Amino acid sequence: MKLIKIALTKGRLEKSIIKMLEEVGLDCSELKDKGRKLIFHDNINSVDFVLAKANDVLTYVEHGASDIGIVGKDTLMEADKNFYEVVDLKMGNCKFSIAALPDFKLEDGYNIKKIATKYPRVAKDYFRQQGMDVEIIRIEGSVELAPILGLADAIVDLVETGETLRENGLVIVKDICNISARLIINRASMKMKKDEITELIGKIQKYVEE
Amino acid sequence: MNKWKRYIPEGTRDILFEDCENRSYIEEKLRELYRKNGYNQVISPTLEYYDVFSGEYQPLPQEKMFKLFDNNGRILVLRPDMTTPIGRIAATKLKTQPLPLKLCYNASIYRINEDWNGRFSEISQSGIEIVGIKGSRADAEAISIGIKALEEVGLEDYKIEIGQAEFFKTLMDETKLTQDEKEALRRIVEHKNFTSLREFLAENSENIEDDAMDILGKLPELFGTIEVLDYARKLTKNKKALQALESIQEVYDLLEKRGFASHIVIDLAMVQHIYYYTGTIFRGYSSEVGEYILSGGRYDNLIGQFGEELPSTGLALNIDNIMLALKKQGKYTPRNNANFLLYYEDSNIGRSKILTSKLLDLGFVCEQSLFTNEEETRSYQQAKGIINLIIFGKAEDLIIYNMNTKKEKTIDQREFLEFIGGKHEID
Repeated sequence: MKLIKIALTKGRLEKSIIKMLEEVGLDCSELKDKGRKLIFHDNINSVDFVLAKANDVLTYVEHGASDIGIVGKDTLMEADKNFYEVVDLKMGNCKFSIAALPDFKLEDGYNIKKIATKYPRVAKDYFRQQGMDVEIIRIEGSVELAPILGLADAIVDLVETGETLRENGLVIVKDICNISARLIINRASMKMKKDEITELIGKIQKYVEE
Repeated sequence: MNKWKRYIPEGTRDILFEDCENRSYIEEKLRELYRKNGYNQVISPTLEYYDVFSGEYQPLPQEKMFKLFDNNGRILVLRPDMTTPIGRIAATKLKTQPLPLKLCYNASIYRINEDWNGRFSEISQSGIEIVGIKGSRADAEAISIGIKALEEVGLEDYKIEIGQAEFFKTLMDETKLTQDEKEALRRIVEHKNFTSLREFLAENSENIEDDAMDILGKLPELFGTIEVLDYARKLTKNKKALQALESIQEVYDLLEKRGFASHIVIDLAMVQHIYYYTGTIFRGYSSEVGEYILSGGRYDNLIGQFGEELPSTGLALNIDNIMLALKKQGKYTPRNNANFLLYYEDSNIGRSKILTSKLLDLGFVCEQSLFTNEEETRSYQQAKGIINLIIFGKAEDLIIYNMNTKKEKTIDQREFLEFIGGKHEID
């Protein structure tokens, strides 16, 4: 058995991913009792896990430092990197949406609209596809503030329940696309460790479908 | 003012000592391999007109090319690729030469990368182009040279995957999808995105024939050993698609006869750059590197833009990635250090010359001390870790100091040479 290195995204999705990995037969006992460690072994199968920030998962998998990664579609869309994106895990479901104060109208007027977002590439690509010229302002956190403070006309952000928007008096203007967690594979690993990896993909695919 | 004086640009690097030596070693091995197989080397300019690389068969988007202007305001680029310049040469300067042309090169290419992502802007490439001939023999030759190259430099545990650009294009022709939809589908297949593929096919079912539906749905899975071809043949009746599969089979058979079958895998979902490539395409991977170590394929239309229709195929080895793989496999030659340090007074230069040339003949590496006194020479020996210091004494005497054993002894020059035979250290 060749060693398979899996990079998982820290945070929100961690629990449901670990549950899935256990269901498909991996030993996640070290992962569940992690302390300050960064790398964890599966004591039964030839598998190592690391926990990393979403963007780092992409970097590790793209360079082949990890063979497999589990990461949100939002991060994938923003990064535009090269790997196989084999399974939609149907977890961590949410969507990219355009939101603004209630009086905002997307198609109104000829002035360039200002859009604040944590995802400039996603926003730029979407508006370019729509043939709209917008000015994008990158914000690092709490994007909802931007229209309230008058910095931007609207925002592009991930929306899960819409609660934060509502509490801050913003409404969804339009949904861009649905987002969920994905299983990604390094291109070389897929070829060099085909048997091990396709077996795991098969099991995960089955788990997702059930 | 001189803020950047001591730095090098993002994405570049200085290559030192053992990295340099290993690179030269690999490049020489490859050059020798090409030469022995009848390939002639070409060197093209680092700077080319932007026009050479722009247009339908653009190897990469314009924002990824380094650009500058010449004295007349024309746009120049640092070449982002070697195949295109070789195509230009073939269609202009070499158009009266007998075909096929067998050309080889070893050069740096330049590509702009995103900052901070661990990639280099200057990439060292070595490869061949077989210009002016169609057919599986040429395709198989390009792949064989690639495999031989990896063997020649001592790499183990690698795979070459073969695909066919026409296979996917033919399946696309059978559908009623728009150009944009085809591109969306190509991206889905490229990323082996099973989930999106299923959704896409369901949404576009009325524009895709049932026959194409079957095989497109399975496309991302169609990779692995040669049996994949048999499976794929059962999934389609499209004549051109079957022909594409047949051409992979032909190339595979030729490689199998050469004993390379164990390195070959098939991937029918290799659909990167399918507008540039027109037939057999391939990529090589090693377990140690996350990216491909070699790539290539058939490009029958590319050279036409330079005025001559010359069907061609080629191979490019990524020297940097091969070096990385070799290093991780422990096949890296360590830094070259001298075996002997020679110190002598000016009056002994004649003697030292004779001794040096004998030591060199025996395969030793000798450094001449450039210091004018023994003291400094001795501390240089220690600092640099050169095992043997030879000091030229009176008459034919040599004083030899071994820094490992810390012993010093005097020996006659002739006796020393007889004694030394094939040994690196003198005790």
